[in-house]
Amino acid sequence: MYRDNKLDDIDLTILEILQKHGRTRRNEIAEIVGLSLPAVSERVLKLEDQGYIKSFHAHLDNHKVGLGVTALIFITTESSTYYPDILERANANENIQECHTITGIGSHILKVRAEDMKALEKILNQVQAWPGVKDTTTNIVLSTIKETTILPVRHLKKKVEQV
Amino acid sequence: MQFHKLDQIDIQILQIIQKRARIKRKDLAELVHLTIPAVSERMRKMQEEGYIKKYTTVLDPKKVNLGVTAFIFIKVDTSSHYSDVITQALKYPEILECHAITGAGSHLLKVRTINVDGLEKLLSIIQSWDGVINTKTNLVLSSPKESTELSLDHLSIEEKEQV
Repeated sequence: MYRDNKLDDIDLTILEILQKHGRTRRNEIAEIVGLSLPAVSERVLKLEDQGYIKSFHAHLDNHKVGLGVTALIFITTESSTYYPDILERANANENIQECHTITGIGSHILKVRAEDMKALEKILNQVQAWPGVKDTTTNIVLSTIKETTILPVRHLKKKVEQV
Repeated sequence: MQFHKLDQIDIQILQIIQKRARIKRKDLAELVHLTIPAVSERMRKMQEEGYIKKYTTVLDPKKVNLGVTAFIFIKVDTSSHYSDVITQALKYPEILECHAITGAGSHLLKVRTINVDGLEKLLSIIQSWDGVINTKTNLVLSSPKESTELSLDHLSIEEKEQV
């Protein structure tokens, strides 16, 4: 048995497998890590309960579903009093995949997917009309070399060893 | 094989599994009013045809100790070095995304590191890549929205217009 909130080597392997192939069968995982099926299920449940695993998703191909334009939009806002408004509007717009508050020039960065330039223009017009938005800078993505949600986890092992 | 156009039920399935990839086939079949084999067949086809890229598990970056997220703009002196940038970006698991973009700078990276020290280390590595003349880093303070879900509303509209 392992203590709460400490991941061992097997947990890390499970996380690595599931990040790459979200629908890997439990019995396949069990075989790889050399545990019984119930033991693996128990661990996955625990990783979910403890918040390591946030969610399981199907990733779609943005080009195939007709969202050929990806852009990163920097927003400069007048003052931070508008942040809740920006958050609310970013959440409401399904074409906005990400919204981060950042340091540096501008206060927010948005990652946007649109069907074409016309659709992007429409989204930009909307963003520019949000309360408090003073200025936007848009970088259009020409090509995407890498785009993954897979997080490295092996550094957690090192930490355990150090203890 | 002929690519089939997505119909309303396909779109509905995609919308559901983008959110909940591990939904049971039985529940999914019920939601879209089809039999289980019919749903499985549609999912298989959409994966084969590339609409569904893959199934993944999303981890909580903070829980796995990747507390720092940053966007790094790279300026590369000539496009002859682009292939070097691609090779390097693919090599580092801390680099989650790499896009070639318009505007100031040629590439944008999204990175996650354990802490600011880790970011500094990664930055000095990136700055030593062949052809990189300059980098600009925006540190993420918070991420109110961060999703991989794609909006599929435009597909439904298209279909309605055709009818």
